Amino acid sequence: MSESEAVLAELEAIDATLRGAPVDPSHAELAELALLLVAGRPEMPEDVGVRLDQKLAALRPEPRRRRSFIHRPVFGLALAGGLAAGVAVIVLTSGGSGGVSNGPDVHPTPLLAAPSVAHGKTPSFGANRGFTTLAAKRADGDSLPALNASATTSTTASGAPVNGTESLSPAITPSASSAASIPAPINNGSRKQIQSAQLQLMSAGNRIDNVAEEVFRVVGAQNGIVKSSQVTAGSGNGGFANFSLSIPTGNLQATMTALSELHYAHVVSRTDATQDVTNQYKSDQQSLANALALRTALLKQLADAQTQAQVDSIQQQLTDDQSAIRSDRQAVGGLNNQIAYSNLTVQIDAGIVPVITQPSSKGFSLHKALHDAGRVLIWVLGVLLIALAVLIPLSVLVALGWFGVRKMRMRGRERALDA
Amino acid sequence: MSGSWAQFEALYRSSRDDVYAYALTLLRDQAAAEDVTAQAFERAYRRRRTFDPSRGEQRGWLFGIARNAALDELRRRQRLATLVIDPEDVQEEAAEEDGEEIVLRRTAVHSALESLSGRERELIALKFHAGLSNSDLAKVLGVSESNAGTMLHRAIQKLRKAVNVGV
Repeated sequence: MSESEAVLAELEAIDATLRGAPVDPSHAELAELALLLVAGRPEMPEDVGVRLDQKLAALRPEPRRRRSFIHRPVFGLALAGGLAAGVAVIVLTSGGSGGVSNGPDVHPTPLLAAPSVAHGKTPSFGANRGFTTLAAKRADGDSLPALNASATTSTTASGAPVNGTESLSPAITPSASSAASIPAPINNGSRKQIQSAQLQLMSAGNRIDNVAEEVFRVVGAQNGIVKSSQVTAGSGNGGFANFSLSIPTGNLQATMTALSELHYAHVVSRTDATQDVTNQYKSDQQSLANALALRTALLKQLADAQTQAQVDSIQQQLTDDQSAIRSDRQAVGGLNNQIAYSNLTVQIDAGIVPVITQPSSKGFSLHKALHDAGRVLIWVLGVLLIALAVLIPLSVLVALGWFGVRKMRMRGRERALDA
Repeated sequence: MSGSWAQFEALYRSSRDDVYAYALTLLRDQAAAEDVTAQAFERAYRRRRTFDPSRGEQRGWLFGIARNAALDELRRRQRLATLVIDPEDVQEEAAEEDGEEIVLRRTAVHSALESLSGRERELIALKFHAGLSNSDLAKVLGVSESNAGTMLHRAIQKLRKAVNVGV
């Protein structure tokens, strides 16, 4: 029998003895020792037992009382939920973009990431729907000529109004239609209108020159005039170009379409403005007609004049009338020129440019609510992420510390046995 | 343990004397053994929800707690350098009721037990006074069952030698 087998046999003999089972005679001495050890077990004195029973009785829990409502977990949960809802409402009403922010948020946006429009493609703006009609106000607060109604359409690639104009209609949702869907200018036959437009493009910094060349080509093809231009090409990502163009009004939309489809640029925003000058045009025409009629009458009077004094007086009136005719002709000519040629400003940016987000209009909508809810959710997730970033290492440190202390305590206990 | 008082009380009734015997064998001080027993049951009651039936018997779990309490007491006593009392009186009381031969054998075993180290005495107490199985013994000591058996065997061998020398 090997040593390990002998050990197992003896341990089995001890267990058998403790169970009261018979053991092999060779283990009789061991069995006797086991029985002596069991018999030598210290007995608990009666008074000790009584005291221990009393201590146990002290541990006995009292019968549970019915907890009042405010002590129930449900109440705690409801309270916590109410508080969370309150915080959410406060965040929504104060920090959300629900239309009560006091100014535009300006934040840098990487140039190439700004619009979700394919490179070189025109952002689509649903046909006539979705264009924002703007109040007839300029940024400096001056009103346009009072006798004319004005209309401006403004869109951005992200569908937000731009350049300080105030949106009076719902935001525009870009669709997948082509540049051909650019709205036609308001043309009511005999109505006289001045049209202008602004186009903001984005391009890679190293493509500014190519884009500028394309702009010149488009303007030439549309019989337009480059009144002024400025092209700054940087060595890196930066770059800027600005064109002030005069385009025959009939070709304005074709020009806009062509510029929206440049190979190396894409549209960030476009603004179309229309100013109705019919009344002013008629007024100027009427003044001119009156002045011409007056001249005819004066010439007749001059032919019939008898005295030198009459001749002098009529000639003076003719001179004044002539200058009035000249002035009226200039006004009518200028107005005709403005109607025939539209101003178009093209701006091309490369690099990081500030994107101005206009404060949205006040009021409640499902879209805004979802937007605000999303922001709150992102905010909460951010806070949780930061909290986790702090708590996880902290928890690991605490766990390690706790583990170390526990180990040390266990060692201390074991050492007590060896002492 | 599901946490009910009745279950805990049943555990107390079935194990109280064993825990006390173990503590007294280890500490050799009745007052300290009483304190440790009370402390062990108090701790066990507070931690009753931590008991996991899948990890062993209730008695093994209880003796793990009792062992920690006893070792804490042992450390405290060592720090205070308190002299332990000799539990000889307990043996003397029992001696009057039994035969002379048995008394002699018991005394020899008792003396041999005293000659063991604390660790060996603890093994004997857990096995013969508390009545733990080898697997529960292993769990209480935090060693494998075979290791616990080997340790127990060594302690018994040492005790046998000491008894034989004494006799």
